[in-house]
Amino acid sequence: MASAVPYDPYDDLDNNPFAEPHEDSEPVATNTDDSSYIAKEQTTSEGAAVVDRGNNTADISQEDSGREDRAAQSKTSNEQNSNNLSVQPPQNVILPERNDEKRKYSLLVKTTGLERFGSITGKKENPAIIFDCSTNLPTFRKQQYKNVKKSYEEFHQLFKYLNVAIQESFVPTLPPAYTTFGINSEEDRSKITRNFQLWFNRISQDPLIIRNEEVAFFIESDFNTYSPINKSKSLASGLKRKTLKQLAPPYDEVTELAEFRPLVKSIYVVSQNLQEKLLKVSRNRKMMVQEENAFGQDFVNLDEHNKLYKRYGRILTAVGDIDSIIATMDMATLYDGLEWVVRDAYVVKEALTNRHFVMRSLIQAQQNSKTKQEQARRFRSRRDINPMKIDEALRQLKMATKKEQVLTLKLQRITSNMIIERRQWINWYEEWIRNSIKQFTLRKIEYERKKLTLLERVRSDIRKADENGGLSRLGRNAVSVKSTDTSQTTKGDSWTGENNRKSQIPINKIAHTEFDDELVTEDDGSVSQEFDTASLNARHAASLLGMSNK
Amino acid sequence: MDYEDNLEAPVWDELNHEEDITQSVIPNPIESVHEASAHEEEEKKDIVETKAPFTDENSLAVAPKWEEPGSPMADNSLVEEEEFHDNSKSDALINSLAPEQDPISDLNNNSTQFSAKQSNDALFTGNANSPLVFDDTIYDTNTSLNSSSKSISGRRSGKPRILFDSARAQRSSKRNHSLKTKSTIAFNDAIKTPFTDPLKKAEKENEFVEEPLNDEEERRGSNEATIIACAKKNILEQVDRPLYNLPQKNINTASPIKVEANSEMVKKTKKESKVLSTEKPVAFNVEVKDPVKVGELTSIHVEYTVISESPLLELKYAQVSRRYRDFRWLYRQLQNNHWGRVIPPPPEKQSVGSFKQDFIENRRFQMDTMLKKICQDSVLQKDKDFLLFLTSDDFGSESKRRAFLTGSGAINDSNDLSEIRISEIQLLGAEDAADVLRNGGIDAESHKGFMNISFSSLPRYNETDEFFIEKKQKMDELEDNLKRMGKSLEMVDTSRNSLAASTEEFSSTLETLASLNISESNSELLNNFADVHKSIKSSLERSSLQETLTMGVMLDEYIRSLASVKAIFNQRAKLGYFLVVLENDKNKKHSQLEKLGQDVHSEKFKEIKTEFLTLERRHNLTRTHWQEIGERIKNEFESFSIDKIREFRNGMEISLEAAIESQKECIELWETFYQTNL
Repeated sequence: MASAVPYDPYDDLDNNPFAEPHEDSEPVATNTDDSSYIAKEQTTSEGAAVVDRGNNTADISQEDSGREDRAAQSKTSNEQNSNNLSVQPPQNVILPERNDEKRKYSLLVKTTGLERFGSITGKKENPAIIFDCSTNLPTFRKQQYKNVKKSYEEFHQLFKYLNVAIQESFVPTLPPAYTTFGINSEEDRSKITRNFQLWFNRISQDPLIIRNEEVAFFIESDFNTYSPINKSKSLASGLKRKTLKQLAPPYDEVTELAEFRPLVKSIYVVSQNLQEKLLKVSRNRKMMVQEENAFGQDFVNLDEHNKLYKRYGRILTAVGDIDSIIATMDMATLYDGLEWVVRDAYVVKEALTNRHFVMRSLIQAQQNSKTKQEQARRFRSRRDINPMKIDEALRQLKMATKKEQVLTLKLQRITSNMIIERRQWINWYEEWIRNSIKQFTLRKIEYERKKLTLLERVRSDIRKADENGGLSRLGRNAVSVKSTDTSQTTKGDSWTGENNRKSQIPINKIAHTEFDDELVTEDDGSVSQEFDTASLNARHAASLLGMSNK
Repeated sequence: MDYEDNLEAPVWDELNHEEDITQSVIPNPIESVHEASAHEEEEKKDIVETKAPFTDENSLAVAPKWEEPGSPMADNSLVEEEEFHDNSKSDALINSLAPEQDPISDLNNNSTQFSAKQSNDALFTGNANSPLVFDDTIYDTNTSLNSSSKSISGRRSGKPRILFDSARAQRSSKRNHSLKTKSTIAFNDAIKTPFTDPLKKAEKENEFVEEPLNDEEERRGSNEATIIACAKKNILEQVDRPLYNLPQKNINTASPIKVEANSEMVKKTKKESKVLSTEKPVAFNVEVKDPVKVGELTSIHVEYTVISESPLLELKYAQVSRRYRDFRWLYRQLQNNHWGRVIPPPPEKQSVGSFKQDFIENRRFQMDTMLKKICQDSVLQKDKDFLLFLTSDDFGSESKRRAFLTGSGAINDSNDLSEIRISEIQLLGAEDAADVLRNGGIDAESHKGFMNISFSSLPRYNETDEFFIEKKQKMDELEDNLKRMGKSLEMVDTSRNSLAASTEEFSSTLETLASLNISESNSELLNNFADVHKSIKSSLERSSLQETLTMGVMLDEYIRSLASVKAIFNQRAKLGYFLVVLENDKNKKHSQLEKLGQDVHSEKFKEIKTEFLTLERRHNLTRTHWQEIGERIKNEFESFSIDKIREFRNGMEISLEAAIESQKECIELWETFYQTNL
């Protein structure tokens, strides 16, 4: 309850039911009888206030219905177990944070950089993310924060806390700390930064999360000093959780959510499977690269005097190297993308499991209050009553009812929030997968085109060697002898009818590969020579070829 | 010892008497011209004089007198001795020819250098061992003059060429060719040696070379006058020359590689002229198809239908069924019939899994290629055994008979393709071979006197010609490299296939994810994505197949052809070995003869004498064969390398084009996917 103090003044000022979740979340997290009891007192006392305040911002009609519903709900909850879910109070009552249409509170974060430091594992696993932050949330002391630096470990702490503390939300998981690009590459840096930006965007979209004071603590704390100030404990963990998970899920009235868990679970499993397969593809490709390189090398070694073989061999090796890049790119784009999906799907799945736990404990609480009611009724029918016993029974009944009420409210909050977030999550998932595939495809196109460029570069050399051989026998004279001839130009690809013109920049990008230097430096002398002779007489190349081999 | 020479003479005449006469006829007029035209007449005369005895000695074959200075048993010293003589001989020859160049030697001071080079050339010493040396060298210089002049003068005027041809009309064209190419090699060797400006020199040489022909043309007139006229003409010609020679010269000065290229050009033009003169192969269509499994259990094998169509066949068309073994027979038989020729190789033997479908198909393809190649060769296509192979209905027994008749050992051959067998029948003729075989082969005879225990170290054949040593080494290297390449290509293929397999798995998992139906657009995207991967997978498989069909088959073919080339090298080595063995035996006999020299009329002496003569004959025969094979190998090897390189390059191009195409396909797939879905 200590947490209630700092935002009391805001409560008064804003007349906003913002304090509600805080008070609510605290007891939920602890879940002990004591705290829940106190919490229950709080909620019941403030329940009306919440409704009133909510009505201040909402319609009058809603206020009425809200009040009625609330009253009805509290009544019915005493009588019927599952009734509580069928009679849904309006969202703005249960989720006041969501009611904030004008987006009164916002958290804007812009990630600006990434720092890797420390030991090798530290560099990889624990980078520091630098970001700017501007907000109008009352939990923050300032509105602007510049160059905030937080380590991945701190992020992880925050996530762990939020994940447990905010049971209503699917708290977005952190993106992976490193990518397959390799931690030293520029691509890795920008990708991680972008991913964290995406994470912050997702966080700040969730009103429940940004209103959590820990977010403020996290941002306001110094680098590498943050650890959650509030303590939170998950509903069930370890063996208990495992055992509970074995039980059949309780009956769920909300079909959307009832179906969502198995779906997410499938996504989780299949994505993991997909990752595995992609890894295999990538590994196989790398194996192929090795063999391709060996083959190319063999070509180079075939005849030490033959420049054509050397050149061809080197091109083959370079093509192999591009394949290796492709393998890495596959991993970096799709595998890493799927990694986040897998992590997120897991958290979503567990959040839904938690909801099941809450449902189950609600059922228990309902049964409990029922037995207590029975007890109280029995006391009433009896003559000889010990006043002490009556008091005790009444107290217990009161407690049980209150607990039931708390749980009911909590479940309602969870359910309605999850329905909203479910949609968001699916959208995110779609968008993210799409994005990953897009990146994957773009990279693929880029490097496959580079491969083509490389292959076409050696084509003229081979053609020069014997103008009467090879494909020319098949009447394929169309391939020009000029070494500058490529099928990929600004006018589009020569092999398609489509004429989507490209700008010069991507063409230049394609036309130059990472291995150009290698190819040129290794045979610069010979290339120029070769070129001389070839330009004089294409036939020379043929004789050259015949001459130097034997 | 005079009677010895007399006795030997017929043996020698038997070998190539006619040639000898023609050959000895020709040098003389030239010499007379030399003499007349020479500035230093005394010197000239000396040379001619020295030459004459050599010719005599040669025609008498190796006289015992010669051998006496050295130890008669040591054949090496003998060979050296001979070499020495031959060297001096060729030196003398070239000197005798040199004066022709004298009139314009002030224009060019390189000529003497060149002729000196030529006389030192390995090729000449290689030939020096032969009894034919003298003629050869003359021919050589003459033909080299001829051929090189042809290449140049041919373009300008046909006149000298015609004259030359008429002069050479009596000679067999085949011989001419082999000599020509040899001279070509000599030329190249000379050119290749690092000189300040080797090709220019070669060019100059060509210029001079032309002169003797002109000389020949006009030498019927007064000698002095003609030579002066010739010199004038030559100067005139040289004035003309730069017009078309200049570009080449420019190139020459640019870089040594270009010089090589240029000489290659010269070689090419010569080759072309040669190709023109050789008869064109007759149209010949052959097809191997329809492999069928025949027989049961132990006799199970695959038979292939061989269909052939050609005017060379009696009925113009033939259809027979043959099995793998028969193709081996054909290979061995052709190898035996044509020593020193690269025979298109059959597929390698493979005992395990020889009934799998793709193996059979692969083998069929390889045998098809083999027959097609044989058909394209103008000599091989007319081979009796080849025609027998194509037409015989009773191939089993006929092939055995032929193999027996020729002693080729072609039946049930399962040796490595590069291993060979030299048929004694082919080498020595039927009767003598029968004799030799009765005694257990040629090399068995060398140990006869020692109760099959050899006290002296086993005779060893040392290759004397640089060409063979060098090429053999190169070939081994090449074979290693090719084999390694073949292996890594296979690995590339395997890994590509496993990549294709895992791509397919990936694709099907993508489909599973799509089937979760999270949303319509997502499912569609994932499904399309999966489809692209499937297309990529099939493209991968296709390109892998393509690679095996082009590069793989080509490499395989190359490796097997190399085995076939190795076989002809082995043929030479084997013949060389026989030569050494026979020489050894001959020397032994000779020394025996020496010891018995006192009583010439004893029975023993006569017996040994005949034995010696037989050995002598064998020795000479083997030597001729050995030399011929050497010549032919050089010839064959060159065209083989060029063919192979051309083929290899073609394979490279095709596989590169295939790679480019599949690359384009791949890009197109991704582009389409990107445009429609993203």
